[in-house]
Amino acid sequence: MKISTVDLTRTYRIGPSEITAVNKVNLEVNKATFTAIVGPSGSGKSTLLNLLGLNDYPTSGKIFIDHTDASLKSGRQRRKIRLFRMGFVFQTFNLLPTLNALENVELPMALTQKPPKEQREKAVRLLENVGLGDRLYHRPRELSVGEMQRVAIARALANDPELIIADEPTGELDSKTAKEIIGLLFDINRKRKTTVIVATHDEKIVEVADTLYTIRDGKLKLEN
Amino acid sequence: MRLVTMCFRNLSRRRLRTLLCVFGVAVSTCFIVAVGATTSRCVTIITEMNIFFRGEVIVVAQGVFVIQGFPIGGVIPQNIVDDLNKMECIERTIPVLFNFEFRPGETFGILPVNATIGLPVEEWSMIVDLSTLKRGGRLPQANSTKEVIIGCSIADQYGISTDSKINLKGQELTVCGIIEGPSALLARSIIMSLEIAQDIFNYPMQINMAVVKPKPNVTQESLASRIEGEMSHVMVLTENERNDLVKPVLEAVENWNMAIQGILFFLSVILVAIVGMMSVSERRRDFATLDAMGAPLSYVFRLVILETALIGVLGGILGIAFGSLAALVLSSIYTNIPLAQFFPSIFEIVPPVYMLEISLAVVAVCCVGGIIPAINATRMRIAEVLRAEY
Repeated sequence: MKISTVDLTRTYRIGPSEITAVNKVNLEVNKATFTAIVGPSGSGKSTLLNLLGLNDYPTSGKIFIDHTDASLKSGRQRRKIRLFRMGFVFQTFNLLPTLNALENVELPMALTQKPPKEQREKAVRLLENVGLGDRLYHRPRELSVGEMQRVAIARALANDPELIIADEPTGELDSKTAKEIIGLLFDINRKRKTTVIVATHDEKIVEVADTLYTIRDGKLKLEN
Repeated sequence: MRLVTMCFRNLSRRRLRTLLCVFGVAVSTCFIVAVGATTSRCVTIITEMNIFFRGEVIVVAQGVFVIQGFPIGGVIPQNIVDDLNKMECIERTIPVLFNFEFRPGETFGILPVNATIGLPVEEWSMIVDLSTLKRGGRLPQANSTKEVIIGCSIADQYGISTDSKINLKGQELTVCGIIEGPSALLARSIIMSLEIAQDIFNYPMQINMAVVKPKPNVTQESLASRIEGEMSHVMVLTENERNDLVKPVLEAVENWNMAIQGILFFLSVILVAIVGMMSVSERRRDFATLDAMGAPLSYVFRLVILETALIGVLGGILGIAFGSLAALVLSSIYTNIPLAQFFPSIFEIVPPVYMLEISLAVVAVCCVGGIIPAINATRMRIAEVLRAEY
């Protein structure tokens, strides 16, 4: 999936003041690349990722997905794109606490009405791929943070997305686990040819990224 | 993963709150069933009394309280029958001594313990049909004043069978038949000869109603005005007038019943809505994650509605079970009939159709209560939730 933006802006009104979280951002992410967006807290990374992931509407500007203007799409069409073409990995994992690892991974497939048997087989395979073959029936509270993030990655891959958006995926992890998660995302990018966009503080991610952007006060800058 | 399993697990996350909510819905349902079943039984008894004396007018003492043709108290001399029979517009007149017997020490209860109907032996077919008698039963022989027919509820309570001897206020009588029909009134009735009834209840040569059949070309209304014109101290009621007498009572019972149901259902909606809102508010992140994953709004909506519907199902089942039990206890208290005797007839007191209606209504009410939380859940956006959290 190729994704690009033109003068993308998102402002919030907090009381009487207006805050521009993303300010006229022009970005281009090519198919099957690993892109990192680096910036300090409050610089607008998450807002930008939410806009790219069609989770939020821009105040102005456009988002193009494979040359189609996605900023004009309806809520229903955006949900469809998110479900079938995108996968999300959050800093706090956002696993559903009442579901075990297997069920959490099955959920996006269930939303696309895949047959239950197929869901189960694929979820098992994905969890085995991220090294959790022996933790299938554990609920999130029974898993370590590293394991939870692996489940989240497996869940993001459930519907074979063309794009994975990861918002500070290593933010809650120790350096050893963080390295493993970065390796996992890198492998996905290289082996599956999935486009990966990661917002991070982590230097190790910066090292493996094909493209690096920095963001400060909502303004994006291409570094390489 | 099945949606129902997911809902059960979500509900079990906050067990105590879910249980309290289910309990609240169950208490409402219990009241609705208990009050509804008890009042509708009274209404049914009153309504089914309407099947008696169709096409006939009844003559009772003036000012007496009448329910569908059956007077409560009041007496008129038996010789009024001879006077009535002399009128050319009357085909025949049947004297009846009807008595509702309430619990000892009570002048009036909600339901009488039983009813006794005394009328000439040859006229029993007006009240009881041979086909409604249990096998082996029969109508009394002509001129027999020592035979009675009793209702099945009384027979079951006292272990009486056909041809049993019973002692009624010093009179030894033979049971020649047991009524087995669906009528709740007849199930608690003792039908005896007029002479015995007058003797037992100490009304010598007195009756409390006369059932008058007009000649074919005479209307009930014209007959009633003629009788009232010729006789003083009596009240003559046509079929329409009898219905009009109880109509406001039945309507009032029905309206109160509806009002109680409405209030309890409304309280259930509020309870479920509050619990649903709390649950959705606690799970903002989960709903926002579902939205980020691309879950259709209908899926999130169904998830919340199904959870509240499950509360309705559980509350409804418990409420109907306890409500049915409460209805039996109330019937037993009001009629002085042992509770055990009501158990076999639980589906007559709380009919399955009524149970089904109430359970569907409770589930529907809980679904209505879940609408606002469900709409809220569909509005959760990951960008807003994450921004609020950090």
